[in-house]
Amino acid sequence: MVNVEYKKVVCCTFMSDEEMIELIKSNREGILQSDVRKSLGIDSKKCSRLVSKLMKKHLIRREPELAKGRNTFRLYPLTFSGPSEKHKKLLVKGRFSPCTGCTLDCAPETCLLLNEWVYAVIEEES
Amino acid sequence: MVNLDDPVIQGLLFNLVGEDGMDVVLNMPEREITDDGVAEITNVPLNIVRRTLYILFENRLATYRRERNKDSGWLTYLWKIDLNGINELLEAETEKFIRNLTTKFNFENDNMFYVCKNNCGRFVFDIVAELEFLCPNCAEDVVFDDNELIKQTLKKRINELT
Repeated sequence: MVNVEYKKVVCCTFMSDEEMIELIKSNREGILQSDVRKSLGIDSKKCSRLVSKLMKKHLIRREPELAKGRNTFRLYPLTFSGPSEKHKKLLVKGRFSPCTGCTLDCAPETCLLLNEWVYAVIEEES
Repeated sequence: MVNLDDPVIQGLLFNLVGEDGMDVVLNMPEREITDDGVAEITNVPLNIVRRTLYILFENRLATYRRERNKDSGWLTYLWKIDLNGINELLEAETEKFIRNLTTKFNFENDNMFYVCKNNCGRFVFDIVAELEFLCPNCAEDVVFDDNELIKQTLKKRINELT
């Protein structure tokens, strides 16, 4: 009996997560967090947890808004339009961050690959 | 839609899956496909195809579905590439890289360095001071290495990435 209920809860959490992103994606002009909560039939605590989770995954963004005298957020879907200027700084002379995919013991202080990358930055900027 | 021609995306994927793995990523069809099918299309050995798919799966860039053959009971894994999570991965890799660059910056900031005239390497003060400023490898004199430029570069790049 306990197991069945546990499965139910897990399943429900997963569905809300998926449903929420679909709901936000279908509203390009944004949707109020309170409306999302009502549409999905979940409580505000769970709703804000899910919103935080999706924001952490860079799937949505939110902006504060005053609706009917109450503070809430408008949620917008985030679409990936390519690497940002920040991400471009990971690439130097065709060499991407040596820490990505690295399987060596991590010692940034003395890492030869990291050293080479830093010298490539110096060379590029000089 | 992720642009696979973008040098940043290519650099990220290249570091993850390697040169052979890139052939898999670039030639993988959009539909679901078995690892054997991928090997056939891409002419990449099956073990490398599997390794690549596992790496992509670990980084949430590929998904699979299992199908059981009713007669034989065998499981077939149907793979599909899904690069929608690449932004999340880029962010995570950036954060990890900032952490490592900061560690390196602190190390450079807290130490004095000396280099061997024969290019044997770069040593911290404590090591060469014990050896009367002789190289631990070839016993040649070591000279002070000004790391101001390294510190400046690291600091600037950390700020740009943050």
